[in-house]
Amino acid sequence: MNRNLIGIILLTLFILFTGWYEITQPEGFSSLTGGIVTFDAMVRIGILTIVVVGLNLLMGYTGQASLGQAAFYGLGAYFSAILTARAGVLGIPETIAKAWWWPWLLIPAGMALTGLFAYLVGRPILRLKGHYLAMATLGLGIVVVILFRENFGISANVLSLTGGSDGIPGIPRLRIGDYELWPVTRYFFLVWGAAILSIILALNIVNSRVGRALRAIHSSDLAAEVIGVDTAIFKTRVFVLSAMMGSLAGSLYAHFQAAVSPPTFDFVASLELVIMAAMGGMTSVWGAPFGVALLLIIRELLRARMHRLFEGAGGEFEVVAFGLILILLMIFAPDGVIKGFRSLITRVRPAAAKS
Amino acid sequence: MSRNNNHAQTPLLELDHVTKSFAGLTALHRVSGKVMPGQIKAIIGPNGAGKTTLYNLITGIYEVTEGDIRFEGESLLGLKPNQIANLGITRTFQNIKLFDHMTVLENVLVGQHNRTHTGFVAAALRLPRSRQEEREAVERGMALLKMVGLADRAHDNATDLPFGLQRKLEIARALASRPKLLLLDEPAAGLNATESQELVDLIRRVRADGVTVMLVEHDMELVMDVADEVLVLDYGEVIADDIPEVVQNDENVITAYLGVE
Amino acid sequence: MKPISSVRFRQIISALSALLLIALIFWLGGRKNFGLQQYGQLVIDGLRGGTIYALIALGLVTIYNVTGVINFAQGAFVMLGAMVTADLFAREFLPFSPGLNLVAAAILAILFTTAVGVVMERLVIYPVRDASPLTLIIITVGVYIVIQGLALIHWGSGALKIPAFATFFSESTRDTVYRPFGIIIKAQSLWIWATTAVVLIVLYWFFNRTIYGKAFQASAINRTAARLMGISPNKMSLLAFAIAAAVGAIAGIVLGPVTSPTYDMGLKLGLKGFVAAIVGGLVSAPAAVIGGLLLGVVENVAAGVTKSGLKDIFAFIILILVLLYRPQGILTKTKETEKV
Repeated sequence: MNRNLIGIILLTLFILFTGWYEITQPEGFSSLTGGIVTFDAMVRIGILTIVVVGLNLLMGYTGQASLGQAAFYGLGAYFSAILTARAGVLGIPETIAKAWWWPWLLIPAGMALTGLFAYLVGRPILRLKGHYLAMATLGLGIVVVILFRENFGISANVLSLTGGSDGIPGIPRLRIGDYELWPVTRYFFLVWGAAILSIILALNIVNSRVGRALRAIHSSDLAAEVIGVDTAIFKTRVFVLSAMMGSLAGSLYAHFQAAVSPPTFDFVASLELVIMAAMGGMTSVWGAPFGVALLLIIRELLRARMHRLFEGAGGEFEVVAFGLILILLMIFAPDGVIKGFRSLITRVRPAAAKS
Repeated sequence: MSRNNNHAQTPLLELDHVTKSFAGLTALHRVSGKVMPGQIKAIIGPNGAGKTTLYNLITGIYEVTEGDIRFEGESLLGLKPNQIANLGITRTFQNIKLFDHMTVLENVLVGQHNRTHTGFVAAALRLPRSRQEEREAVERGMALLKMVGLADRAHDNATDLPFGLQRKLEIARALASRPKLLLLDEPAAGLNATESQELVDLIRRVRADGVTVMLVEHDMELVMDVADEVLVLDYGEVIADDIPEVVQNDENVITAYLGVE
Repeated sequence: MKPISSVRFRQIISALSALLLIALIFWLGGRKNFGLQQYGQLVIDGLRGGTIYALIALGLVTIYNVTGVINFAQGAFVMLGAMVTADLFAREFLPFSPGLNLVAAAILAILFTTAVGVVMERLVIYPVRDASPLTLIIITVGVYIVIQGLALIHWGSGALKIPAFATFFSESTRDTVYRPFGIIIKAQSLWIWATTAVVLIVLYWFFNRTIYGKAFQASAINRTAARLMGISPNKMSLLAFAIAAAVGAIAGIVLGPVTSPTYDMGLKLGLKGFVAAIVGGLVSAPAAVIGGLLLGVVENVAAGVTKSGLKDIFAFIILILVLLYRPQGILTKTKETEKV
């Protein structure tokens, strides 16, 4: 059987198990991990997996750097947040704004709008290569977050859309008719359903004509072009796709957190997304869930264990340790932990065989 | 030149006083020439004569400064490389540019890019027609690999192949797009005698399949053996353009080559 | 077909849009009743900020030229320069005079930061110099995180204080202020400009008049050729980080009195430094300096006539525009060169 299929089945089973355990066992899922990975963290991992899958397609497969991916994540989140929590200010009739299907409609609408935005900026920006593209996307990400913080430059007395630095609270939960997708045990399945679906779609793309064209672009822009690949169009499309995945995840985040504020989507967040992608291994769709989980787990582990190692160590020690781990990972496993682990095994095995 | 006018056919590729300068330096100066359908046309000349520059102009990598390049009577100016590829011109590179981190078969599948149509949506959803298309593409790709003798290495990493086989794969990849005109850039460089002979056979077979071939090559023996016509460039200008026997004895050509070697 | 007409067309379009932008600025300024004095003030303040950006960009370009690394930790050098100076100054370890105390603190801070740059290069950059650019970027991000985290542990989240340099020549503890034509210029601004000028002269002398500097320039132009001529890329990489760290520290020290340094001041300054470096074309030191000054003035004037919260947005819009229309920087001429 196909390896990817096995992966999908295993992941699905794991998710079903996690959900089942959380619902039926009184001590909850986090007890299985010694309190390191909470059930909430599992939901977050699912949401960010969607963003990082998109980033892997863009950076890992196509070789186009983005240091501003959190902006698309933010656009989805703010789109959902503004049109639900601020519906009254915008004059959207209550019959629509309070209808159960309204937020559901906003999710694809947000994706479409974010995709359009990515298309418009992607066309010119993706002509740039290497560091220059990285810097342009970095700038783009920062501009978008400042727009959130500054209420899109509109005076808050006239029309307060984004709530400035405080952000937007009071975002409603999703529901289907009268069935609310909350508490979190219900929402968990929605998030991971979307995450697994993104993984499947990405795997299909990677192993197709489109995926090969993207990898060809990564390998040699020029060789791909002279064999007939319209590199400009493919780069733009994969950029748009990754932006739309970011937007989807953003909407899911908004309804999960019930509030959004600028720091979640700022430059540091963009960097973290890249770090997650790099940790998992960018040239593999499967790297996404692993990278996201690894980063969050390292964080949580540090938070939970650091003070035992050093007497009285606070949050700042975690940050330092996190930075050190990041550097070490990039030095010793630059292609991600999965590949790093694999190459470690192949290196150890022959040695073991000899002895 | 006058020879070509005797043909009743229109040329497949026509260079019409092509000039290319880089920041004031002229790399090609009013280069004219024709490639007839079904021909094997060699471009030779000392290093720096502008051969690769000419390829880069034909394939749209560089912009022509002055003059015109026509393919099947239509100007190629202003077209992007991928559009030119879609018209039926593909090439290989002097320093082999295979897609690394991709298998031998996958390289040939990318070669079929313009003959297949699966887009993002069809690929993501694995629609029946895209799966059908994929099966056919793999079949054609394997057939092509068999022809160049790479079928048994289809699933190896392309860049793991020995040098000679990499050259063959690059030609196979170019052929996968079913070009009308194939531009080979020093295909024999770095090959041993046996491999060179295999290359000559391959070029002849390609031509027999109806593909016109242009060949930039330093190996004179190979050129005189396989080419129908030879165009000689020196310092960016055409100094001879005729059948091999005539070019070999051309005084300008001999001086140009002696001057270098 | 394309070459002549499109270049011409582009020139006309850029000239027109530049005029339009200037008109827009004056129109917006007009709505706030800005006179020459206000514009002058915005420009002067912008030049002060721009000088800092220029110094940071100088460090980035130095490292990029020799190693190809985009150093996200540059902002950390700036922060270290300011924080260490403030810390040492507060200890008053030299009993003679506050002036001497400050000078000593500043020198020690520069030496310390330079050492940090050197250690960083030896420990995490040089061993993996052949890694992909992205890996190197993430490593420098990691270094930034570590340095900032250590700064937080050591100094806490509160702001430290560096006194204005001028206070050592007067009795008052407040910075001297000059008012030519009604424009307010703090004495510290003059110190910033003077220091930067000295740094530039020293660097110019070093790069053009010393063997080491010339070797350095050679390896910036062509690493392989330089290596063939016996210039060790190993030493040059180390030197680049040392220079960048020292210049970054100096930027932090001269900026200190006007901002109150904190442990997290480096991130934003580092990013602005990038913008300045890119505006200058990323490879030329003088262009980076001009890029920094230009960036400082433009963002400050634009923010002045609109809304101060939008200041950063202008910087990054400039970044994107420069990348799109003049990726080679604003000073370098366009040249089509042979590729493939």
